[in-house]
Amino acid sequence: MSRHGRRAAGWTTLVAGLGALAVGLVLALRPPSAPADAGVLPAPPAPSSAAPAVRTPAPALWTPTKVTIDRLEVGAPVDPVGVTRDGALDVPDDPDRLGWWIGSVLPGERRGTVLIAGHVDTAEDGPGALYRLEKLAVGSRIEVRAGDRTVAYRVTARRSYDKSKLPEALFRRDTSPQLALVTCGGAFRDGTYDHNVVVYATPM
Amino acid sequence: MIMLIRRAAAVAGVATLLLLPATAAAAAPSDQDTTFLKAAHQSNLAEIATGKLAQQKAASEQVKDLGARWVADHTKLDATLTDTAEALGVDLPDAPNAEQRALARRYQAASGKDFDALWIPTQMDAHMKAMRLGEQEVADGSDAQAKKVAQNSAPVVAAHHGLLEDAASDLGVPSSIGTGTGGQAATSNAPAAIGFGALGLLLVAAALVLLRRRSPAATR
Repeated sequence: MSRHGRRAAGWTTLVAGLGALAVGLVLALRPPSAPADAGVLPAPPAPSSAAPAVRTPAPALWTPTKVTIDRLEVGAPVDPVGVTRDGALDVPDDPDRLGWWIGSVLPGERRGTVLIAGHVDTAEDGPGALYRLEKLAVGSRIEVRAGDRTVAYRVTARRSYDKSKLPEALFRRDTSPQLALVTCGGAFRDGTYDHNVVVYATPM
Repeated sequence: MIMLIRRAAAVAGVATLLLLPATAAAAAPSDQDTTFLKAAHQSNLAEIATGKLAQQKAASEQVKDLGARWVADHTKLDATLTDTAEALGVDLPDAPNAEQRALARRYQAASGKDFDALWIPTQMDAHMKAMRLGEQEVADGSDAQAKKVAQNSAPVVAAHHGLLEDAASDLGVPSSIGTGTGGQAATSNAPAAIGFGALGLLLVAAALVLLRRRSPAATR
């Protein structure tokens, strides 16, 4: 190689190296993107009116006891859970168990969202039942056991929400009938994730 | 004479046949009746114990009051149930079932706000189960007295369920859902950043070698 060629190659390599270092620096400093969205959501219902929907006890319906997702090899027991005094959903501490919010509807009801949430992982026990929820493909089947019946759902969409910006429709009893499985995802800082991953599914 | 005896025997036979179903029904309730009476009794026992625990351990007056109501209502319901079971000759279990006992242990372990947060949803579940139990007896039971027990319990259990729904809605809609403390599922740019960093350092090192080899020649 000529002197000139070597010199040019040296400078080119230096520029490329500095460029790569700059890209690495930008990646290290920029917050990572949240898990990708997929699928289509049904139109949200009209904003909630002053009068809440009348609650009628649903006959022959039971609280959910088990969620099965064959695609993820998941079969997780479900506990009924409420809201703690500080406003958080009281998800079971055991990451292998899921929590059905008692304010949401029962599987098989004609309207409303069945809200079931579980830990993606915990510091104590590692990965949970919904560890791979953000990878669950649209079209996958989810089964919810309630009493002596099983309600089957088909995944229609997946969304990531900033934790402080969960959509109101998630907690409504007057949406079209759907199941919402909720866990955490996105970047992890100070012992907590910055996003919720929600998989929406409609009865089959 | 023989004719008369035969006729008498026939009449007696028919009478026995007619009487049999009636006596059998009174003496032996169906499996469904027996199952219902036993399960409803266990549910009453569990609710009375649960109500007492709520009076002792709950953080809010609301849950303490519900506990007192559980004790009063389920004690009353169980008195009628026990009388019916005795009349029908059904032996009742003397303790709640395994699931109810396991729940009682969870209540024992919780205290204060944790107790309330656990108590409301689990009681909702227990009352829904009790409602289904009664509905099944009303639909499939055969003994009138046993069915009456189910019919009498239904409005009480439904009222309790309504009170629990009120308590749940007082707690409101969740403002957040915290579902991860491990960090293992975190999306991260670290691998890519490290990759680019390493590549950059390598290229810079290579460039320095190329440029340095040239330098002595240039000064010559």
